[in-house]
Amino acid sequence: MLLGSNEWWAEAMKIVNSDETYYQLAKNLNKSYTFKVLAEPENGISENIIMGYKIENGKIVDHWEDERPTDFVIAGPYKVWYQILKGKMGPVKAMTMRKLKVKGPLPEMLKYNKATLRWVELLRTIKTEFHGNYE
Amino acid sequence: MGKISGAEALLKALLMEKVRYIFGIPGGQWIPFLDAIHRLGRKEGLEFIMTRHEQAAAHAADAYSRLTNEVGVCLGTVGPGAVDLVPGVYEAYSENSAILVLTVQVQSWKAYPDTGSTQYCNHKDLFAPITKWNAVVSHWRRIPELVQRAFRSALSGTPAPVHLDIPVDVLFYEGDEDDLQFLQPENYRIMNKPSPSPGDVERAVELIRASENPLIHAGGAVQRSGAFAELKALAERLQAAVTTTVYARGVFPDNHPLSFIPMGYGSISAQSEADLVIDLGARLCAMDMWGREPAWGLPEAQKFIQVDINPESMALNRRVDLAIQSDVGEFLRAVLKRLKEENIRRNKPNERLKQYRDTENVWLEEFIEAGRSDVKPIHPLRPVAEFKNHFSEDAIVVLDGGNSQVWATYLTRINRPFSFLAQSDSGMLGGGLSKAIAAKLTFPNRPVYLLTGDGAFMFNIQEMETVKRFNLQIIVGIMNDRAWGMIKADQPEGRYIGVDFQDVKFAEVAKGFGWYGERISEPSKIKPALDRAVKSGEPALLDILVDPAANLKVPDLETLDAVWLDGVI
Repeated sequence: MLLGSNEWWAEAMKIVNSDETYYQLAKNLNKSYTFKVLAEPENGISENIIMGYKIENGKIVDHWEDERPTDFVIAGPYKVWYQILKGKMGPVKAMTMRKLKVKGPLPEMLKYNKATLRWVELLRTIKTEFHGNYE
Repeated sequence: MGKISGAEALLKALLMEKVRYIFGIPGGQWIPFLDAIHRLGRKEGLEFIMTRHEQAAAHAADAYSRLTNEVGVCLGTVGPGAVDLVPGVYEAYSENSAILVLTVQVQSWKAYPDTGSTQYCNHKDLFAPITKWNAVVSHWRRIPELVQRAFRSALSGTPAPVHLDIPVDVLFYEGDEDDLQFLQPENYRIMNKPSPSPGDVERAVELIRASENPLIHAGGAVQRSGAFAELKALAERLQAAVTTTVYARGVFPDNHPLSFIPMGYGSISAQSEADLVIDLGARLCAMDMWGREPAWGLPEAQKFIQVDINPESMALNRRVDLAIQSDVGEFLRAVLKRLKEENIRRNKPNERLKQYRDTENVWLEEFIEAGRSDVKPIHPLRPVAEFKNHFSEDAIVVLDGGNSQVWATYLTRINRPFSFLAQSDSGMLGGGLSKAIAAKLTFPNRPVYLLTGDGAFMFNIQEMETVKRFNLQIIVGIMNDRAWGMIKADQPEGRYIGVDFQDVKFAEVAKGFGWYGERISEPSKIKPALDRAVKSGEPALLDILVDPAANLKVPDLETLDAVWLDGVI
């Protein structure tokens, strides 16, 4: 499943929305997010990839591929997203090191840090195909 | 006046500065000085504290300085003795601690450069990178002057170690005391602290007036200025969140509603969103996450006032909007006066503070739970919680480095100044017990406890003898995981190299030193053991076998790695 495709999102929603651990950590979470996966022409990724999604009460209820106003915008090079999804880098480290730039209320992000970590753990279980030279 | 030897002159100059303790190990060249302490120093209240390694002496001098705002003094003999001081002096240098390092040198006519003397070492070059100022005392006549200069330098601006290297012939030489000039401190150094200019105060007040969500970040300078009441008054007047550097814990009570734990999620939240930061003497180094986003606000969105006694510390890692050279206490008093005159006050906390508190509480939840956990092997947070609950606020808490310090940060609460000794910028391991020695000597009526890992403790385990010799009741909790936990946690799982120890029965070792000792492997047994340890009246060590697997999972180690390995990984 290609990263960010409808198929990939369907799988993500299925896994995340059925995970009790995630639900317990995120049941009060109601936020929308935009991920900007930045282009790397040298690695065969010519355009930015935009992924947006919305979480209500700990469940992913929607996702989209265009730019919309969201509570958080998290942006970084493709390589960083690849490393995170491959388990080679933690999301907290990526943000602390500013490899991912975060726009949005940091206190909220930190408050749901454990939920974020679980979310990433779950995404790592998807058999993700990556773009360009990342496969 | 009569004759005075160089050794006696050195002692007299130190007594003029009311030095209480000199930590160190004597050597043959120091004999006249030690004899002078014996004959003349003790009756003036100066004690020589013999440690069992010079590194420990430097750590103890460092701790004494941090707890008193005075100059700590340590000494080592020529060559190996001086070299052994280096790790402790390094920590004092990194942590901005005013210590005077005394080394003795071979004869002046055989040194600088070397002529082949046994144990010769170029002490001046050795200590130059880890001291603010150092000198060779080239002649007996220069002893008082150079001691005075050393104290002036150590205490001026940002405090730091200073060093005097004294050739042995200078110590032995005798001359007329009339030829020496022993001055009172007020005759050779500034006794008043520098104040901010009126213009700077006005500009600070304007920034404060315009701010809706101010934050005060307090560094060690608050401790050195003793401006605890003023800090509290400003925080309450502005209803501002207060964070501190790791070093400065205790300058603002952890249990104050405006206080957030250093590097915790509440702190980071408040630091990232504040529209104005009043930085009181913190340089914003690695342990302050460099003052950069995301842990702090973007410079264009966050005004920054930096107050520091040392202009060289300004904007070291972050752009500032207002740089004020001043003692932080003088600054606080001046600003408070103007805020009162202008009737600038906020009556209730910013709503956002509640959010920061919620974030901190969520962050702390699992740590508090682990601190109560009955799981076996013992979770590392259980001893931290037990020690915290056992001792009163009056206790001096000493943390050694590594994972034990990270764990302890979560649950230890420091509510009084001069109650906390840990390492911050130095990241040093092994100074804990030596610092505890200085703490107990300085405040004999206050409880002193040390939390340490087994790795850190072994660096200076010999100081158990010093503790016993001076009958100091220090309570040590070793969080024993039989490994360099912090390093091991970073290594690829299953590919551990150079990080595991064999089991050391520390309680038995303690008994060998004449201490009370117990080994504990069950969580419920920590508290009764702690009761027995304190009741014993002896120095006591609890060897607490913590879960090695849990100790590899310090939750924020990833963040620390990100700070330490910035730009590399």
